[in-house]
Amino acid sequence: MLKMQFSDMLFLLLILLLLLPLIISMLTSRQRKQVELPKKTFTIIECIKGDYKETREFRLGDFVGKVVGTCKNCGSDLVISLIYTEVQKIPGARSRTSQHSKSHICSSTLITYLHHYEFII
Amino acid sequence: MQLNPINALTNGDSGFTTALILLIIFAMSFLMNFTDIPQRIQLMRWSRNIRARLYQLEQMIFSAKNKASEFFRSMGLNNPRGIIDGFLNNFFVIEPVSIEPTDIIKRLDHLIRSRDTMVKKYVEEVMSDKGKVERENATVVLEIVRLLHMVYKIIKHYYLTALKHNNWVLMMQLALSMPQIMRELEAVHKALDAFSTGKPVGDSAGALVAAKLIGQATRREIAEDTVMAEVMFDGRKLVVIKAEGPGATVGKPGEAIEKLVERLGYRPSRIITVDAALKLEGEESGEIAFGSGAAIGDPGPEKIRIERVATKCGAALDAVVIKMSIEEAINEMTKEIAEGCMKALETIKKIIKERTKPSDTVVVIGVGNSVGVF
Repeated sequence: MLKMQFSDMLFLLLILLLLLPLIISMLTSRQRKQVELPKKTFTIIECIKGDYKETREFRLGDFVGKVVGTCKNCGSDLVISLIYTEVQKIPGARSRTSQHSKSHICSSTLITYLHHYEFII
Repeated sequence: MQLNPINALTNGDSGFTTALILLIIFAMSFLMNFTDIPQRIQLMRWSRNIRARLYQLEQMIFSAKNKASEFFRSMGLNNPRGIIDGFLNNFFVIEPVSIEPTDIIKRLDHLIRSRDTMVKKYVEEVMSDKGKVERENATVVLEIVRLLHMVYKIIKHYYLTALKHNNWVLMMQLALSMPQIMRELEAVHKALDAFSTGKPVGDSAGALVAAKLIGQATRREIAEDTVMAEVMFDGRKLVVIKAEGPGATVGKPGEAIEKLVERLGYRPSRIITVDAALKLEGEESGEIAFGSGAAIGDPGPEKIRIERVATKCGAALDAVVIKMSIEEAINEMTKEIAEGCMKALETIKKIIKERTKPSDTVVVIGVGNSVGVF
């Protein structure tokens, strides 16, 4: 029968301690798979006199300022006023950009106080 | 005396086991402290990590080339791979001499324009029967593939150099920078979708605000790929300048305002620039901030022109910025940024009302890429 004494247990513990960082390192170095959230692009069409507004999905060839027809109410031009993309929300899925830890926010606040310049692109 | 450690473990010879433990600890501490084994192990780990990222990058370039090929094929072009390959390794710019700073801006401007002309000619040659908007969007698509290819080559160069010289410091720097580089390159890769379909991107924020101010007013070309329009607002004459659009171009806003003042004789009392700005981590996308100076992120020539004109006219120079991340700046415009543009428009109107008098002339420059914005 296996007889375990204090020194033997110490030996096993040492081996475990040596292996532990290796296992932790292997687990944490693996890249967490990011969930790619589906996106949808919308086009907002407005009457230039402001009495009609419509939102539809983006179609190839759309651009802001494009005249797409005439208003049913007043006969003025219907113009694409905005095109924007929205990320569809899936319950439980993590977004790539919106996760900020508290320490992150604190450090960025500090940076905001230190820098007076904006990074214009 | 038992010499076998297994026997020692099973039979419980504590004296031998303790000696063995001490020996292992001593040997390991010696190896870890007085040899370069830890560095070599780390070098191996980092190099494996970089190799994996380089492979990911290769896949990204492959996908980008396929997307670009698809885009050119959809336009009816026969040899899309030839068009892409002809662009990849060429069209670089060598920086002007900076140890003699006299006229450096003129020289830089000249080099940038020469390069732009060269690129335009290349695209015109391969897409001679296509319209201006298609050619401008195609130019950005080619630039994106070129950027990915160039970054890949640079990373590979540093990786191989570090490996060749066993330079673990270089390898470490590269390995630690890789996650951020990859995140930005993924954003660049995704930008292909926006530019190939002609959707507005985050950087179009400035152009969008300018387009909102122009509305249906008549536009005229004032500089290369740049238009101006005159509109009245609350008794003030607004001269709005923006890149032409809806193709992907940034125009020459500096040259435009220079012409406006020097050739057309306008005397603005205030110049307002509006552009996208990089947010700091923790800041919200679409936030608005205003301050002084020219909000334009060009290498220098356009910005200095705006500053010089403002100084010459004694006009106050205001900057209104819409905050976003680098990923948002080059990808499809999000709802937050679109809302930010509307807030920026209100901020500009407020500045005009509060800081100018009726009958004043105010120049508003919408800086940024005009993709998807007329």
